Amino acid sequence: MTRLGELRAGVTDVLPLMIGIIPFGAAFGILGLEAGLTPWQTFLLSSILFAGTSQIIFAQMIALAAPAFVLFSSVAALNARHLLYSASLSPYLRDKPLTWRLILAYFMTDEAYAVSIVRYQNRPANEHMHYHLLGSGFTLWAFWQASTALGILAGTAIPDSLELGFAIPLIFMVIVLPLIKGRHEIITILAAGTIVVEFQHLPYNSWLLLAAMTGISAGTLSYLYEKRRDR
Amino acid sequence: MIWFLIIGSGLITFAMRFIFLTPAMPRQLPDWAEAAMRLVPVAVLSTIIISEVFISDGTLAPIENNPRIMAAMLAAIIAFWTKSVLLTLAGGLSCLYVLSQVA
Repeated sequence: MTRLGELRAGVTDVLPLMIGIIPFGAAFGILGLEAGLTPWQTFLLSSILFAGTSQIIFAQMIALAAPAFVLFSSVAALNARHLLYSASLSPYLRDKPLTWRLILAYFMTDEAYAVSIVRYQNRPANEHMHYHLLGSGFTLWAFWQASTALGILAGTAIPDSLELGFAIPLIFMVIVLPLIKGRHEIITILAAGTIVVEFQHLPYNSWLLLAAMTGISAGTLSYLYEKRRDR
Repeated sequence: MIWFLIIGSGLITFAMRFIFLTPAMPRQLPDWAEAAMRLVPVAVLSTIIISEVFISDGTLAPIENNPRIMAAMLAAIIAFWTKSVLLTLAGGLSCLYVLSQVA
């Protein structure tokens, strides 16, 4: 395939996912303002951070006036999955020039990764295949910026009687429910939930971090236990 | 301060996207680290969901006549069946609005 062919395939492969991206980006635009960020801070967060779920967590942390270490650890923990994406794309991209790797790293998101890794694994390799991730990544980026702007513009027109802050847990439900695949996820949620309920009194909202870390540890232990038992 | 948080978060995220694209890094993470990383979104997001739905003013909210819990249950059902952000928000937020007007 040619450069343009790969680029076009990346765009068309990711395009159907934009149905989910537009309301998500718009919701972030609205929630950013709601949390007390300025329109410019909200808009530029979409290109500087460029990771939807963690942008909403960012807004939530600002609204809770959480300290910097809680905010940074939450963003880092949430985005640690990009290490997996980066590692699994590495065999296909590691030999490209530095500029290309920097650009493609910036465009690495859940959706772009999902469609481009399928292309890399299932269709024959060629020297232009990095254009596929450029196509999928840039398309998602453009839709994300536009829908954030849309949300910021709409945000000023929404009546206060709607409790928009409640949109955050609702959006997270749409993300989390499909991720619950078995026992490990259930154990993770129960452990995290117990900490949330029992440790509200901890200073600086540090129960947030404690709950997430306890959940991850419990779920990982459950995974290791199952693996050892099956061996 | 906000700009420091924005740029710091951006740098952390970019570093994690880039690090394994450098030829020097190992190709594979240890098995337990992959398992832990897959659980991070579930843990962080359910922490926020549980605290927003079940906690009010630092304590466990009452279950009866609680518009947030009712709205969250409806939204969870919609989210499970449709996987649509738009429909889940429409259902959940309008349910919360109606119930808190009635209450």
